[in-house]
Amino acid sequence: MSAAATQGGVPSLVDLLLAEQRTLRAVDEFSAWHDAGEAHGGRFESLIPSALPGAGQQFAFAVDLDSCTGCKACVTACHSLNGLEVGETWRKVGEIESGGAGCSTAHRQTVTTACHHCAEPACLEGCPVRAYEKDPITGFVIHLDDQCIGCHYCQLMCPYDVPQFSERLGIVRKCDMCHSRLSAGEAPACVQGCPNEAISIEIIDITGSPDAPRASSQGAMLLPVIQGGMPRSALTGPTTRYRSAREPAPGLRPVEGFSPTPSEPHTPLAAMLVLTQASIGALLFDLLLAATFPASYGREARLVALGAAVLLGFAGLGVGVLHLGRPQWAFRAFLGLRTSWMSREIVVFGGFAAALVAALFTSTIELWAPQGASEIAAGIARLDPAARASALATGLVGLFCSIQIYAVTGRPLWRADRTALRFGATVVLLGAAVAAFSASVGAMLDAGSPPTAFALAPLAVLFGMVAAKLAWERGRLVHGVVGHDEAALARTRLLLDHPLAALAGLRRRLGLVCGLGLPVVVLVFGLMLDDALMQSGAVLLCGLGCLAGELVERDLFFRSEAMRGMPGSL
Amino acid sequence: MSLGSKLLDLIRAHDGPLTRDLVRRPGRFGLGQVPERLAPDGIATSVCGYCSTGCGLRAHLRDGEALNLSPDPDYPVNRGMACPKGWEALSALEAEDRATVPWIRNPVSGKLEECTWDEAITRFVEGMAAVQSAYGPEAVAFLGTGQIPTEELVFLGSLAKFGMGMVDGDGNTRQCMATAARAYKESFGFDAPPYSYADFEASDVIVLVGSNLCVAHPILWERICRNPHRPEIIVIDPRRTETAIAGRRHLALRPKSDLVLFYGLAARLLERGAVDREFIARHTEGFEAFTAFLADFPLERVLAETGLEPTDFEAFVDCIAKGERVSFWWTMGVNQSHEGVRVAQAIIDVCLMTGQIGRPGTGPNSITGQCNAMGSRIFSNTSNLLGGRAFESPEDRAEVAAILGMPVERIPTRVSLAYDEILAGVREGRIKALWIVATNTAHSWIDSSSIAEIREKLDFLVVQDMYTTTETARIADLVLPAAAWGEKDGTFINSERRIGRIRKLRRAPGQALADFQIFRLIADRLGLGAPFDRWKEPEDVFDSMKALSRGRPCDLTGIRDYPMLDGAGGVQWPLSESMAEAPFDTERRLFADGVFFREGGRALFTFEAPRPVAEPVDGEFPFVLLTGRGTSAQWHTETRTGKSSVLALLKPSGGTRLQMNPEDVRRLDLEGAESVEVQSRRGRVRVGLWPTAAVPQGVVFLEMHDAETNHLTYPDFDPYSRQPSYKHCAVAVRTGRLV
Repeated sequence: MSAAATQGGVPSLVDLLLAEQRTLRAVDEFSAWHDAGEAHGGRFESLIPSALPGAGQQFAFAVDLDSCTGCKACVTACHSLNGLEVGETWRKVGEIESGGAGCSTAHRQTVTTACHHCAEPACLEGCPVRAYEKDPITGFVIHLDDQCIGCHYCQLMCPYDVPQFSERLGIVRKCDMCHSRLSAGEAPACVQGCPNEAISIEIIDITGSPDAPRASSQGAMLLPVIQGGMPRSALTGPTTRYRSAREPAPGLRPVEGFSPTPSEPHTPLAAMLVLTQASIGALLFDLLLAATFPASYGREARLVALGAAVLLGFAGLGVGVLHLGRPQWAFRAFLGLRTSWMSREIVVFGGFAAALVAALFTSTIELWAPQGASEIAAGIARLDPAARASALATGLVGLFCSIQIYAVTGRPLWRADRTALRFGATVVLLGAAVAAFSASVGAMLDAGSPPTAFALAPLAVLFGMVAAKLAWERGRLVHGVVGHDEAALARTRLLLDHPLAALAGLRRRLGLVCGLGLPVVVLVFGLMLDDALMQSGAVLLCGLGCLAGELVERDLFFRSEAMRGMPGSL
Repeated sequence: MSLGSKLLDLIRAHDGPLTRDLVRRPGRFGLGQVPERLAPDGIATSVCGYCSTGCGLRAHLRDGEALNLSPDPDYPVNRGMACPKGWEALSALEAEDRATVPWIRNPVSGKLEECTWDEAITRFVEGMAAVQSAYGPEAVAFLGTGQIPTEELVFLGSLAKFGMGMVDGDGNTRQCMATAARAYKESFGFDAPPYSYADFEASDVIVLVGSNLCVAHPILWERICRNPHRPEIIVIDPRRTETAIAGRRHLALRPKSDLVLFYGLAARLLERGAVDREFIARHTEGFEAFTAFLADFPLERVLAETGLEPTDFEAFVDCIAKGERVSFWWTMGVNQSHEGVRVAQAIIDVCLMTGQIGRPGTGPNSITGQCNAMGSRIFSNTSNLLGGRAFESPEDRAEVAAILGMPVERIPTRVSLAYDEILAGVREGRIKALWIVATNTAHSWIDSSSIAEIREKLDFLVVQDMYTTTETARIADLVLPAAAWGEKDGTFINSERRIGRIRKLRRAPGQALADFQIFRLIADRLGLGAPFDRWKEPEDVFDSMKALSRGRPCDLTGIRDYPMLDGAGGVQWPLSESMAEAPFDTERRLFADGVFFREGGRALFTFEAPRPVAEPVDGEFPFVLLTGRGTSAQWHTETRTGKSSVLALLKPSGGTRLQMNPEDVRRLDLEGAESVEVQSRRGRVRVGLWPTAAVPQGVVFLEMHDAETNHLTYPDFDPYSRQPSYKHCAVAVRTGRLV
């Protein structure tokens, strides 16, 4: 365009002005005289300790709630001075409020939160690759960004939703209390940013004192003013000190509670859990049927069952890898064995994969071994029952690890019994589906021998299991809320009733149609029709439907988890 | 590195590219540690471009361009602090929807299409000329802003009125500051907020009236927190705001009963003899009439109309009577009212009768809204002639013409119509073309549903803005792409009359030009002579401003040049040449000598009986709707703050929610409702519901940031300031359909 406006080689005014607009002069005019600027230290002296913590002590954030007015400068100061990426924040400001119907005056309190640099950090305990360190002197909980494989588990372990996952980087990052600033005598960014000096750093006792984070707070809350739904401090011993000289107002609750939003779905994890559990179930039923009906549960059926177990198992483990932000570093996962159930699960499922391959090897070697080696092949084939049993055993240990992964987070929805029931039911239910299918296919392959009642027995188990599970989900979670974690489950119920209602409905319908309706049809008509192919097809349909139902159930397991971290985090 | 340690590092990496992404190192320039990635090679300061607090920011520069920002610890206003908007000021510049080329509406397709600057200026000039030749010069008007530097305001106001023959022009400052300007002018003789922020730290009683300072001006709340005298903080607001909770006392009066409250206060002070007779006698006039007037405000009336408990009201009177250094600070709760001027003057009257003015920690103090509303009040050439003069005054016109070196005939002889009167002029067909600069009328104007009709009546609508997506730019015939704050130079004047530099820290995107340069292009095309041919740089206009201010209350002549502003941390007006000869204080207040700007030097007691609101609640529309700021992370129409991903996280998720008292929620059976419909006689909106005892029964609150909020508001105006009364209309609330 500039050419159009230029006449006879003389730049037009537009061109001159555009050129001027592109010229930056601030640096020439200004920074020279300011280059000798003042030293930074000193401005926040009163807000940071002058000495290192002693034995049994550490640095901690202290927040004067009476001075916090919710301006949120701390969040942006942290963002800018730490160079965080778009949308990444290490601090949050939430609001709690009192005053329901009948309450004439409101009390509102804003609460600023970052990492609590816990005395016993759950992120650190849960990390499979030891990407967290707790500094023995200062108590900083430091995340080693280059060590992280992006498994997200610390996000599930942390009761306060502190670690933030970056899609771009494939890792989590979190507040490091600006340790490099503190070491240089400078205040952390949030302390520098708070206009009202509400945030400071202090030294606290973490052991031996009645004020120690974990000792004093068995069953207590980090924010004593909030009622219900908050994680118990005993989980991790958070060190942040919230103080207020005001009378605690009754009935304070987070403002966000009016419209809870679903949690992260973690879809690959959900799929991994269901598929590995189906695989374990297939092995389980294979052994059960082989033991119960040794005569009619033939080799073909057993091969189909094992094949299904291998397929499902590897699909599960494969899809599980998708959950990692940096899967190329997954080999580090053994590092956390001592403390991390995630590490244990990864290692055990590694063994499970090997055991599946071994079982595949022992059960098929006679089919492909060269003629001359048939004797050796037969010898190896005799190890097949042992190989299958050891695969099952490894799988069951893996299942236990899977359950523990969620149980130890302290999240009410994921309590050990609830998780064990869910996962165990999936094992039985999908195992039964595989068994019904492999028995039907086996019958079909085995020279057209007719389907027998034993092949259909697993379907009856499946029917019962689906019925029980649907009833449990509906009764336990949706209606019959009991216990001290009532508030958290009430939020789960809110989520299932509103934002997740469509998914919950899908889960129910899949269960009703494919887990209850179809098995009855197959059981009634299958026996009458006596057609192995049709029966196999119908059982496959039913199995796939149940698999889909379980996948949705597991998706909801993650999305409807609703433990309230700190105010502002949901 | 040995093989062993390499292997160990492979297993457990303590360092690497991801770790280094967050490494901090000393930033030099007194910055402390900064992210290594963003380490600057220079810094420059600039005043923030959001609110009138006028915080100093330090841009971290590399190769002359700003990478990052932090608050300036040396700036006297904010001393190293900023609110989230300031911290995030650069993110508004990076948005996808920046206007990067001019756009012309294609008359055939009806769509906005890119064009060259040359074509755009031609269209501008021809479009305006066509309207003016058909309907007369007054058929064109402009709507300006408090968001651009004073130099640009001077250029715009002069170009429009002295260059293009317009008579009417107003700014969005009408929506926030007109009331305070009018009140000061009448009471003091000049629009002169008397205070400096140091007064926050010197008071022993601080009264915040209709001001949610913690959220709207967080850095000024910081100044209160620095007050070493443990001040009594009294917050007057119908809502239990963040500030009401942070303050020591909250007077939750009924909406729009503030005028009665202050007259009631004055009457009680008089009864108690808590008045400064000597100050009244020496420095004021009209006190006797005021005394007589106050007889109409017995205690019973005040309590009945404000709804306050007698003990609370008496405690309030007591605080004021006993306070040694009492300061009153007001913002939009007062200004955006049907009788705001009188409320502001009632506050002024109380200060005059108690002598709470001119000393540290005192004063009737209006806190401004926009970053340069104060520049606009003196220099936009709209409601007064450049430098706070009167268009009607032949002497003033002659003075301005002489200073600018142009014929006096170019200066209109009547004052501009106000914003609402200009829009009424459009509706009535008297005004056929509008030039809207750096404001978003279609979102922010009261009763905004009426804007569609107004657009239909216009032959030509020009919008000059940094974004193409504002509600107003979308309906323009011509969009001129403007460089934004951070991409141009100039000065702002903050609430405490401090002139501060803004600076070009980034290159503007595409062909966007500073408003200053756009005005130059137009003046050049029109072939206008003086004063425009002299105005090549913002500082040229600043020199004219100095000349225009000489000898006036807002004297700037002592400000040598821009670098002086940098070195001094900004300079408050007045600073005459003679004052600048000796060392002067960084923070100064007015009226220490008790001499006011009215003829005779006396301040005037001004008062009037309260009037009822224009749209009281009734059976059909039983709730009072208040509007206001949501959070400190949101600015007005969110045209800029909406671009920051971080600021987006700092406002309530899930969209606008209607705040309603839980008792009303229960009574209307709205518990658990996912959304509600709020309806006024002018429109209806569907929003979420937030049951909260922060609003009293019978009152509901909506954020002003949602474009739909002004579909509800009632277009009532203060008769003296013509400022819209955003904070009172009648609505009904019904349960919403489930989504």
